[in-house]
Amino acid sequence: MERDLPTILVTEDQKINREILCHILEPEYRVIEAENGAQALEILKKTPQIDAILLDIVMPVMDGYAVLQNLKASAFADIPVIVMTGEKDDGAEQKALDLGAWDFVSKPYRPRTLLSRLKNVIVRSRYYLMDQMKHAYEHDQLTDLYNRATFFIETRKLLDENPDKTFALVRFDINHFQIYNSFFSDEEGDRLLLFLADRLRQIAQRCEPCTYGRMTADVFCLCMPFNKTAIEKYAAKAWSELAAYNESYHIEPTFGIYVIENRAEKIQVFYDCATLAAKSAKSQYMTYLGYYRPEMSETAVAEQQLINEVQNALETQQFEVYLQPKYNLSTEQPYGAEALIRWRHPRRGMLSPGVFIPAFERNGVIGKIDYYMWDKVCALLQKWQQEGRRTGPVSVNVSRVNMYNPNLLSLLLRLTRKYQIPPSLLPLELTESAYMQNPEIMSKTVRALQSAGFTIMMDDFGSGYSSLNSLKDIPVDVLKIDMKFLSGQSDTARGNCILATVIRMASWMDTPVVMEGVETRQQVDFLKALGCCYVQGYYFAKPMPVSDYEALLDNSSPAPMHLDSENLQVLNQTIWSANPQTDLLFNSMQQPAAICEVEGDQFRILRENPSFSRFFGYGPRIDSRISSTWQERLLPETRQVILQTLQCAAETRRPQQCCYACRSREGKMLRVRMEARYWGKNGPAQVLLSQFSAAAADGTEETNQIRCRDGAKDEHGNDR
Amino acid sequence: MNMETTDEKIMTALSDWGCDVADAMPRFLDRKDLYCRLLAQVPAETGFEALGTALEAGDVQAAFEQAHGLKGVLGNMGLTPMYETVCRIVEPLRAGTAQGVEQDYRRLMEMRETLCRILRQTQA
Repeated sequence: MERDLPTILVTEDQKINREILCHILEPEYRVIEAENGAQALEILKKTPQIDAILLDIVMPVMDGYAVLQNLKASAFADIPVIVMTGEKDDGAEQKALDLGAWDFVSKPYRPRTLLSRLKNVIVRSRYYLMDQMKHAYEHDQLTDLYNRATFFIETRKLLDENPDKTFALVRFDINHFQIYNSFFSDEEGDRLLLFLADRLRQIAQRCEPCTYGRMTADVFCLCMPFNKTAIEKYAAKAWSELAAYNESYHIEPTFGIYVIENRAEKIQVFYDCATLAAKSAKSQYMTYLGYYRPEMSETAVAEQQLINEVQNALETQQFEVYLQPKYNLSTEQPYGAEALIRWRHPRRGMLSPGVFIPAFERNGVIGKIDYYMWDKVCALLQKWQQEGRRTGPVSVNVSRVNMYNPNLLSLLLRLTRKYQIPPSLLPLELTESAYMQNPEIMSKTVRALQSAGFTIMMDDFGSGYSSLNSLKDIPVDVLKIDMKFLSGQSDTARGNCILATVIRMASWMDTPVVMEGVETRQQVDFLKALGCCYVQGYYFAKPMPVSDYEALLDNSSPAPMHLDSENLQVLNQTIWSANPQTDLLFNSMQQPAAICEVEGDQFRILRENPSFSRFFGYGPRIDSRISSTWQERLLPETRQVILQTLQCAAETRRPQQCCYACRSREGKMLRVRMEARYWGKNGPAQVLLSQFSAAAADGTEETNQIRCRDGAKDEHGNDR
Repeated sequence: MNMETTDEKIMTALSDWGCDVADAMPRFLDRKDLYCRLLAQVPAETGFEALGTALEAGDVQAAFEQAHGLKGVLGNMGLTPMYETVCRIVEPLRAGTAQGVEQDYRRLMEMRETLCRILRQTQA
C-alpha cells in the first residue's frame, strides 16, 4: 500500500547518490526525487502530502540554502527538512539549522543514522502539527486569544479553582463595528481587533486570576475578580483610547458587566447576561457601560420575538406606509409629507415604530426596513405622477446603518430610476446624532447624495450635541426641529427665545426649518411670527394611511405661490419630471436660462440652469435657494422692469427683451440682457423661459429698457 | 576460488586497491549486485570532465561544485583512494583557490582509469 507510506522528497543533484538514497529509504518510505532546489519547490507545490525533505546543500540551479529560505516563507514551512552535508562542512550544518533545517546527516550516508533521524523528525513534526491543530482549535485565528469555546471551558476551571472569590464577566464590543469595517476595509477592521486584543492582554495581566478571549467578530470577554472601581477605570481608559484611535471616526466601545452570582449555572448564561447589560447600555445615550439587572431578560425575550418575525413580516407586507403631511405655514396648506412606518401585526394589531424600531436599530435589521420603505414611497410617488396628482416631496428616514453603507447612493438611485421619479421628490431624513458622530465621513456621503439631486433633512436637530456653529460646515438642506426641543426648558420664555434664535440663524444660512410636533394653535402663531416656513404635527394632521393622504391632497386647494424653495420644487416637478429629456436639454444649454413664473405682480424663478448659476455668481451647483436671493439683489425699479417684461411676454405671447444692471452674488456689477418667452400656464400663473446674456458694456444698450422683439413699441420702465 | 562471482571479484580488487568496501555495503543493503551496478556508473560521471573544464577556465566556484558532487558519490561508494584525492581538491576550492589542485586532479583522473581497469578485468 504505497499510499500509506510516508513520502520523502529527496533533493540531490548526483544521480548515483539519489539512487543509493532510494534504496536506503524505499522499504519504509515512498520517495520522490528532485535534481535541484527549484525542482524540489515545484514538486512541493504539486504534491499534496510530503512528510519530510532530504536536502543536499551544494546543487546547481538552486542550492539547499535557497530552498530552506523559500520554504520558510511558504505554506510548506512546517515540513521537516534534513540537510545532507559532507563530513567537514561544519559551517554548513550550522547555517542550515539557522535557516530552519530540523536536523542533518553527513555524507557518506550512514543508513541507520539517516533512517532514525528521518523517523525522529517525522514524529516530531506530527506532534508539532497536532499541537498546532490543538492551538488552532482552542484559539481565535486573528488575535490568538482563546475562542469562545475555550474561554467558556477555562472560565469554568477558573471559577472552580477559586470558590471564595466573586467574579464578574465583562463583555465588550465596538458599536457598529460592521460600519467601521465597511467604511475602512476589512483589513482596517482587523487592525482594530488586534489593537483591542493587545489591550485586553495588558489589562488581564493586572487582573489575575482571570480568563479572557474573543467570542465572535468584535466581541471580547474578560472574566476577573469583581472590583467595581477597577473595571470602571479600565473601561473609561479603553473608551478614551478608542476615541483617539481613528481621527476621522469616533470608535465607541460598550461594556456589559455581569457579576456572577449562581456559579453553578453555565458560563453561556453569564455571557448572555453580560450581553443584555451591554445592549441596554447601547440604547442609552452617551452610556458605554452597564450592569446586568434581572428585568433585562424579559425585555430581551420580547425584543428577540419581534426580530424573529421581521423576515416574515417583510415578505407578507405587514409593514405599511403612513404619511404625515407637512404644512406650509404661510398658506396653512399641506405641502409634502414624511413617510412613517406602521406594523400591522397579525396578533398584536397596529404597532407604532417606537415599539419595534429601537430593537431593529440595535439588531441592524433596520437597514432592510429602510429599504422597504423607500421602495414603497418611490412606488407611491410614481403612481401619483402617473395620476397627475400634484404631490409634494415625501421624505423618508435613513437610519445610521444605511448612512454608513458605501452603496447608499447607488441603492437610492436604483430606486428613483426604477420608478422614474426625480430624487428631489424623495428628501432623506438623517438623524443628527448619527450625523454628528462622524461629521467628516457623513459630509462626504451627504455631498454625494446632494449632487445626485437628493434633499438632505437633518432630523431631530437639537436633540444631540451639535452646535449651531458646526452647521455651517455640514451640507444640510433642511433642518427639522421637534417642539419638544423646548420642552426641557423650565422657563417657556427662555425656550421660545432659543427657538427664535435657531430659526433666525438657520435662515441666515439659507436653511429652511420644519418644526415637528406642533400641536396647538398657539404654537402655530408663535412659529409664524418667527418666520418659520413649515410645520408638521397633530395640530394640522396626524400620520395617516395613504388613501387618507390622497383624499387630503384632493381636497386642499393648490398652494398659492410663496417665496419658499420647496414650493418651487413642486412646480418644477410638474413642469419637468414629465420629460427628462427637456430637463437635460435645459441644463446643458450654454446660455444662462431660467424658468420663471409670473402671477399678478409677483414673479419668481422656478428653475435655473448651471450657466445661470455661474452667470450670476452662484457657482456651478444648482441651488434651490438661488431663486429667492437672486431677486433680493435687484433694485426695486429693476425688479419692476423684469416683472413688466415677463408680464408683457405672457400677455402678447411674443418674446420680450429688457436690459438692466444688477450685482452678482460676489458684488460685481453686471449689465444683463434678458429675453423672455411665453411657455405656458401653470394654474393661475404664467410660465416663461428667460434667457440672459451680457449687455454691451459701452452703454449702447440702455439700462432698464424694455423692448418687444417685433420692435413695435419701446417702453420705459413705468407704465405700459 | 572458481566459485567467486564477478561482483565478488570486483570487490576483492577494490579492497586490494585500498577501498573500504565493507563500510560502504550497508548503504547498499549489503547487496553486492546493487553496489556493483552503481559502481559501473561511476566512471561515466560527468563531474570528472566538468571539473577539468572548470579548472582550465579558472572558474573556482564551478570547479568546487563539481568536485563536491564527486566527493559525495565517491564517499558513498567507499572508493577511498579516489575519495581522499577529491577531498584534497574540494578543500582549497571551498576556500576559493585552485592552487595546487591540478596535480590531484590528474591523480584523480588516473584513478578513474584504475577503476575502469578493475571493472574491465573482472568482467573478462
